[in-house]
Parts: sequence; structure tokens; C-alpha cells
Amino acid sequence: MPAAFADAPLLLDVRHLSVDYVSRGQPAAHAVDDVSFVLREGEILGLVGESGCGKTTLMLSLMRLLPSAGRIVAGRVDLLGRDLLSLSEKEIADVRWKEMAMIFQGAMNALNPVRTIGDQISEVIVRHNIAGNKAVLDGRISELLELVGIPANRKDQYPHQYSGGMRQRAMIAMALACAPLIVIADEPTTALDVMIQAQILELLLTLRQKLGLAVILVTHDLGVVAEICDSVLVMYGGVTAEYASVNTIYNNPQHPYTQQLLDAFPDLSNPSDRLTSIPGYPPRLDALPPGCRFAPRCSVAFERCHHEQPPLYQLSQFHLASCHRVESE
Amino acid sequence: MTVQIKVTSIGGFWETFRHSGIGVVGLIMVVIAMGLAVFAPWIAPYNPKTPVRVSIEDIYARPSSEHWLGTDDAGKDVLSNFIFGARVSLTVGFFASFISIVIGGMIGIVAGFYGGKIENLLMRLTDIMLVIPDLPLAVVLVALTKPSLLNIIFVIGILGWTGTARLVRSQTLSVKERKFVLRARAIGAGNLYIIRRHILPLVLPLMVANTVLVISLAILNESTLSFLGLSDPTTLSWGQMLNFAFTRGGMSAGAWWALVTPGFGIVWVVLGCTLLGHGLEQILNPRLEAHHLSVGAEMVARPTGPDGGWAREGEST
Repeated sequence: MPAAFADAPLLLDVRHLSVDYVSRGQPAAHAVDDVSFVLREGEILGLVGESGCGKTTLMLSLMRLLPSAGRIVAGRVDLLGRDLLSLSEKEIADVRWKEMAMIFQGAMNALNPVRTIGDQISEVIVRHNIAGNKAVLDGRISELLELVGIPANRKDQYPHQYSGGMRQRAMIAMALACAPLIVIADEPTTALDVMIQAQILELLLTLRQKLGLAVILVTHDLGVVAEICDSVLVMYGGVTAEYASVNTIYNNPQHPYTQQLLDAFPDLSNPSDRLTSIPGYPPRLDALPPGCRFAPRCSVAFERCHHEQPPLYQLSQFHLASCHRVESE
Repeated sequence: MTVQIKVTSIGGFWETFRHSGIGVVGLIMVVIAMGLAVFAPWIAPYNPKTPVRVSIEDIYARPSSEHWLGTDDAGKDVLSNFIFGARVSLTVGFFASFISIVIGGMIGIVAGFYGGKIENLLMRLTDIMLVIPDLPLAVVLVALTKPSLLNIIFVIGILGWTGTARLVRSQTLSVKERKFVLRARAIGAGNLYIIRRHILPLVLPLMVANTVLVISLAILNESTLSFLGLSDPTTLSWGQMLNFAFTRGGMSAGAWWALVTPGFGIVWVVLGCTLLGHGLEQILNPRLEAHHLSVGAEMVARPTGPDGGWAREGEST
């Protein structure tokens, strides 16, 4: 935990969360297995990992929005001391967006094409009864759009009249509509060009400063993580590979997966380096290897890795890694 | 600097619709038929309800200056009957298809949205309704109830929703998987709200296009039932005119006008509705959608300069 956040109030405490996908006649797929993390006020947590490693599943399970095949089989999600998993469907519906909002992957699809942006932002506010009357509502929508840098007079336009970056910003405005404590940003910058990406990240940082927002940033992009995150959770095959502050992850990665992931990222200071990739594919979630999930692709795996799953080892006050090599060191 | 804001609207829709030739033709045909029905008392030369004293020459009289389209078996003016008949046919068409669309739309949306057992149940019901031949069932139902206008509308309405239900269900299935439905759930919206505000707006255009097609089916059904003698005896529809001409010696009298006129009316309205429906469907059914560049010539860059060269917008030469 970076010093700045060690004593900030705890917002979200996720402990030993496991999510399965069940389908008839097939073994359950363990999409998320025993993942724990905390989020403090004003903290930006980066969640990185390959496609299909359970990032989005983890985020959806926090809001209890899993598709019908998804089951939360173990764990707790405490938001300000209240266990979200034990709330009724009605109670969780009130928590959604008011306390924890989400910026969805692919803003184009997350906006209804036949309704105006302003209308869609207003439905959030109306749902949670925040604005009393029409004038307050309109004022709030304009204010939100201005906050993310969209002229308020464009609120009566439809999503197709917005550019990609504007749509993403409109989604952010929507996420902020109820002044939530936590915003989950699921790949907010994928499919955007680097300039727009920089603007969106800048915006998230500004908003954190202005509103004290805590953000969970789901991304593939380690550059983005280095730029704005405070702490990083690296996931592999549904489990935590490594969880530490952003400095530790970049300067002292312990899990071989983290190390290789960083190696696979182009190094600007040494552009003539060949890019390395990790051979093989992520494990199938319904046919996991018996030992460490990364073992089949790991270049430094030894006997034990192949039949015993490593627990999470605590390396320092805020550095966790699940690798047998860490223990033997 | 002011930003020019263009909002898509009815105007934009009309702009697209204008370019669909068959749609416009269909619209004109339907509007003419509706005009006939609405203004029947002013257009028709005679009132079919006023009793007439008939002599033998007045029965199946040939078209003349007095009776432009001749007379029928009761010595009444065929043209007037034809004009007033439009009222019944269109009334039945509109109301029956309204019932069909409401039932079909509801079943389609509920089945598509909720899925699982509910969908299975509703869709098997639809399949059963689909395989039962419409006409015999309609004949039985109308014969069992009294053949009044209301009953006929009702029977046609509850037999005609299957196609709509399947169409709406398939569209709902695709819409409900879109990300914004998940987003609406994340907001804390309930099922009914999502159906009303997110699913319906995307399904409705398809239902509208489908309505027009269902209208033509309903009119055809009504004519068929009337022709078979199952019609409200107090009203006069095109199908009934055909029935009378057919069963009361119109054929043997060689009174083609008594048969062709109502037949023409039916074909006119059904064709008009079908063309209009296809025109609307081309715009509203996403599966038939053309690329936006192929819609209007003005969307594609083309030479605009005085010498046929390329000129930029706002560059007057």
C-alpha cells in the first residue's frame, strides 16, 4: 500500500471471492478463484491480465451483475462494512450506481442508439431520485457533461452523433451521475486512439482529485497502469498472481508471469529490443492444470509447480505473490 | 462559435422514406382508400341504407350515367356500396391488426426477454397457433359466436399474431444481449423498466412495419369470411358484396361490375398496405438495412463545381 493511501478510509474489501460458471453436463469453470483486494478512498487500482483471465467476471460479480450461468461460490464483498453478497436483489439495485458505478467496455454498445445521451444520463438520476424536478435534472445533466468536457448543448444528440472519445466521456459522465464512491472502469480506453486515451486518463485523474473517487481500472495496457494506478492486481487464469503497489510491480516483480508480462511490453528507452511473448495460451477454465495455473507456460517452473497450487505469499507489508519460488527464496 | 445540432426526427425518417418508391406508392394507395372510407357520405352518390323501390330493370342494371358502376341484386348502386364498404374493410383491418400486434408484441417481448421456461411455453403456443389453419378455425369461431362486426374483428385479431410474435421475439433476443441492457441493470433498473425504455424503442419500429402487413392480412381474412357468408348482416363490406353477387345470380346475369368492383377494392387496399409495409420495413428492419451511403445521393461526394470539377462545400465559384 502506497504511503498516501495506507490510512485513507477503507471503501471496498473483497475477501476470498470465487466465481464459477456452471452449465449443464459440464464441470463448472472456475473463472475467479479466491481473489482478495482492498480499495481505499482516492485509490486507483489497476487490474491487469490476459483476455479471459477473469477480470470482467470479477468486476461484474462486485456489482452482482453476472450472467445467469455465473455463481458466486465463496467470499465476501464489503462496501463500507456492508456485505454486498448478502443483500437482497432490491437492496443491491439501490447500491448499484449510487455507491459503485461502472464504465463499460465499448461505450458504443453501452449506449442505447435510439435515445439521446441526456435522456440516458437522466435515467440514472431519476432511478435514484436525486434530482427533485425537471430543472434540477437538466442542470445536473449539463453539469455532468461539462465536467467531462462535452458542451451541454449536445445533450439532446444521439450516440451516433458523438465521436468515440465523446461517447466514452458520456459514459464517464453517466458513471458520475450519482456521485458514486467507486467507479469500475472496464477497459475505458480500448479502441480509442492514444490522444483520446490520454484525455480520458487525464480526466479520471482530475475527477479523483476533485471528487475523491476510487477507481478500479481494468486494462490490458501496462503503460496506462504505470501512468495512473496506485496499486496493481495481476490476475492469471482466475487467480491472483501478484498484488502490490505500482512501484513494486514495476521495479521488483516476483511472479514469473508479471515479469514476463512486463517484458512483453515495449521498452521506449531501448526500442531495438526484440519484444518477447509468453509461449502458450491461458488455461481453459474448465480444465485447469493441477498445480500452479501458470506452470505449463512458466520458464522457471520446477517439479512442485506442476502438482501443488502455490498459496499467496506475503513478501512485504503490501506485496503478495503466488509462486513457489518466492517461498524458497 | 455555435455548434450546429442536427437531431434525427420524423423529418429525417420521411426523407429516407421518400426515396423508397414502392413505399410512397403504397402510402398513396392506402391514403386514397382511407379518404374514401372517411368521406363516404359525401363522395357516394347514394346512401346504401335508404330503401329503394325496385323494378325488375333495376336489378343488376348495367353501368349507366345514373349508376356509374351499375346496380346489385337489390337494385342498389354498386359504387355507393363500394365506397361505404371501404369503411367496414378498413375498420376490421385496423382494429384486428391492432389486437394482433398487441398480443404478438407482448408475447414476443416477454418470451424473448425472460427466456427459459416462459419462452418455451409461449413459443410452443405460437407454434401451435401457427400450424392450425387460420381459415377453418376462424369460420368455426365466428359461427360459434354471433357474426357481428366486433366478433369478426376479435377472431381475426386473435388468430393473426403468430408472425409478429416470432419477429418481435427474435429482435428482442438480439436487443437484450446488447451492452446497454447490462448497463441499465447496473444502474439498478428493473425488468419492466428495461423492457419499456430499452427494448421497446428498438423493437417498436419493426412492429410498426409489421402492423401494416398484418392490416392487409386482416382485410383479406375479413373479405374471405364475408364471402363465405360469415359477416355482420347489418354492415356492408366488400367481401359481403362479393358474396351477394356470387350467391344471388350475379354471375349468371353477367353482372361483372358487381363482382369486379369489390374485388378491385380488396386488391387495392391489400396491395397498398403490402407496398407500404415493405417500404417501411426496408427502413426499419435492421436485417434489410442498406448501407447509409446508398440511401441518398447527397451523402456521397460528387462533382459540384461549375465545370463538373470537385468543389468544396461553401466554396462558391
